Amino acid sequence: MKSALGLAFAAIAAAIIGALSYQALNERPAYSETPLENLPAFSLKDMHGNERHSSEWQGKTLLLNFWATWCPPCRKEIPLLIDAQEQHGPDGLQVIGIALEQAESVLKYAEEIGLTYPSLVGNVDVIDLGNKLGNQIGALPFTVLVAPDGKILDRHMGELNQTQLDALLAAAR
Amino acid sequence: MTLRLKTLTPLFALFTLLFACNAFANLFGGGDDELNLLPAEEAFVLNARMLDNGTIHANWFIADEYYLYKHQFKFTALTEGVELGEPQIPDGKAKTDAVFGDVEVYYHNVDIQIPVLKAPDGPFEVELRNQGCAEIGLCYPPQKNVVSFTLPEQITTSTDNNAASKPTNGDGSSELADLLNRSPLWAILVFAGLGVLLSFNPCSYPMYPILSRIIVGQGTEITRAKGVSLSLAYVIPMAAMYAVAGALIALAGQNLFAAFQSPIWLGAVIAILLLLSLSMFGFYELQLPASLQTKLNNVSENQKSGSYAGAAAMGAISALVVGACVLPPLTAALLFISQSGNVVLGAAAMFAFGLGMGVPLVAIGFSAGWLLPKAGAWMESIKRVFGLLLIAAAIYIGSRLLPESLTLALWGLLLIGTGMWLGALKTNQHGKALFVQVVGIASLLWGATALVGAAQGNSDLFKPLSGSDAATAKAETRWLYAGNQAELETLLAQHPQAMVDIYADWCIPCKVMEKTVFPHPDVRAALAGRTLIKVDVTDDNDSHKQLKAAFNIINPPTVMFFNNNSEVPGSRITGEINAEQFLQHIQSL
Repeated sequence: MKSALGLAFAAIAAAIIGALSYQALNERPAYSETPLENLPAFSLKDMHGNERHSSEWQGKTLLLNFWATWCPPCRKEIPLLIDAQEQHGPDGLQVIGIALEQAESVLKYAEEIGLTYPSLVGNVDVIDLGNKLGNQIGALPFTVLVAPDGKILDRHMGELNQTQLDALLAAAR
Repeated sequence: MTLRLKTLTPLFALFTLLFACNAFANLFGGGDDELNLLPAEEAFVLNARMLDNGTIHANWFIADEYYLYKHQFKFTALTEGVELGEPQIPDGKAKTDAVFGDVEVYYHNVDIQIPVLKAPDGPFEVELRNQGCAEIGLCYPPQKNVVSFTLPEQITTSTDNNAASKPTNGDGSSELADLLNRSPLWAILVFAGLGVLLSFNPCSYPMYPILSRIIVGQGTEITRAKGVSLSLAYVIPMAAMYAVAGALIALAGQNLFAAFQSPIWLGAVIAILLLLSLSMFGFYELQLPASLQTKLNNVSENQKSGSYAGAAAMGAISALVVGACVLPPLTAALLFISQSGNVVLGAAAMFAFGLGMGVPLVAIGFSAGWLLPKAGAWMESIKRVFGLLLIAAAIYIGSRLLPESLTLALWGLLLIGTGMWLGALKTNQHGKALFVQVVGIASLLWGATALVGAAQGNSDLFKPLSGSDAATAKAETRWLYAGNQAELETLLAQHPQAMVDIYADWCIPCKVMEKTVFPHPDVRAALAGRTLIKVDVTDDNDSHKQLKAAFNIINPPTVMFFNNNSEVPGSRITGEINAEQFLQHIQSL
């Protein structure tokens, strides 16, 4: 009986050591080690070709949504973001799309679905901004919540569902 | 007759262990909301090369839970005067996308051939564009991979459009693949043959005394029929365990295969080996709890069926333990199973393998114990020998996880222990005992030397004090090191003439070649002008796996030659070869 217990104990110890070392070998963060704490000033063209600067939205709660038309999960969450803008816009929320794409395809798509919030466009600058905000791997969609004072409150990698979006927005209040 | 009961305990321990592994892996890995995402270049790993027939072969290795869209592939020639033909893209898996509707996507792997219709002399650039997403709901920007190619010289003269590159093999692993691909029956026969060969693997030795105890334990009147049926009772469940493994490998593909090499699995196997060895030294008797013993006794009313059950249980356990030793040499064959994805074939082939491994055991049974000594006092000595062998097997497996010097130190300790057991320190020995003592003293001294060598940071058990060999070889042969695919590709792009050595600490042939082939003066002279790049895949982590998949590498040792960033057709060496063969090979390039 004693030896059976001993066996089981040794087995479990071996399993713990194995599992821990396996984990240690496989851990990989999705966000960069030290993302910025505050939103840096940035300027990008919007889909109509006008230069827009981040100072324009100073004092608002910002929901920055990195997306693209070729990205199905991005397109799926956009209706939720339109609703959020409609619902919380009066309370000072501003949703801003930031598309990793050319202006014409964004414009065409925006008209098609009736996008109500502004969307900026860009290529390298967009990847660069996402990177600074902690999107190390450059995947889409990527959503960042910024407080009126510019402090980054939360970030989310991947498609948002309604519950996740509500939870994210709750952090702003 | 307590044997059959004793033998069951390790089985229970093993199940506990496997469940524990699973539970802990889930505990630490699962249920975590934080995403562990791969960067695009690791989620989708491209390997593109020029085939002998003037076709670009592009292979994407796609990580689990990620996929690539068929309609997003785009191939563009960037160099003027280059004309690409219609790419051959295989059918993908149908996926109904909320946005794009019905699309085709690829999981795990996709191979695309792009014929080059026209190209000027010299290197030209092609952009290979891909785009994909992860199942959890995020997508990666299109990746634009710019790769430089050169049409093979013989394309202008050769009329044979199907000339595919044939790698040179030291260990015959491509001949093996050829054999396996011929027909399923061939594959099964080959596996059975491999089984017979590998039954003489050191890790199999502990099976012999176990079986002998089952047979000899039957008493003196054991008949031939009884011997054969008992050994079959042992061998068939053993083969069945291999069959299960074969089916799982076919189902789960390389992931499961990699799991067999994971620290969890290896750690568990080491623990079992050590526990079994402790019992061989009489630290404890393997016993079931009394209540279970009674139950089992009631179930097996007569002792005859009981001993069959014991034999069967022991056979199944031995497959799990011995399997850890035979998997590495089986790599190429197992890869064949995992790539075939054919569960029936996988199970049948591995069952045949298990039967092959059982051939010597059945022979022992057929001899009705004649091949084995009758029970007696010296069976105790045999037990000790096998205890030592079990520890040796544990160190051998552990050497893949432990630093080299520590492994050498463990070998040293084992040799010292063996020496002392052989009476190295006894006085007044005469006759036969004196011979044994001399062997013991040799073992003791060699073990002590190994400890000294380990303290100096050496690793070679056969030359424990001459660490200088490897050190000078490394100093004289200058290597560049690449740790992942991106680094390797960068190095290859920077160095038009390169040789790449895929190496691992646990790969004995790699070490032999490192010591005897690459430092060889003639080889060094022949390699002058080539940049030597070493890729150390000891950890076999994700980036190593991707690198191996991207370059179609099965296992170290693999040596590849690149000119202008594309692999020289027919230049690849897999398996160990000696300096002379190596020289002939590079001169033929």
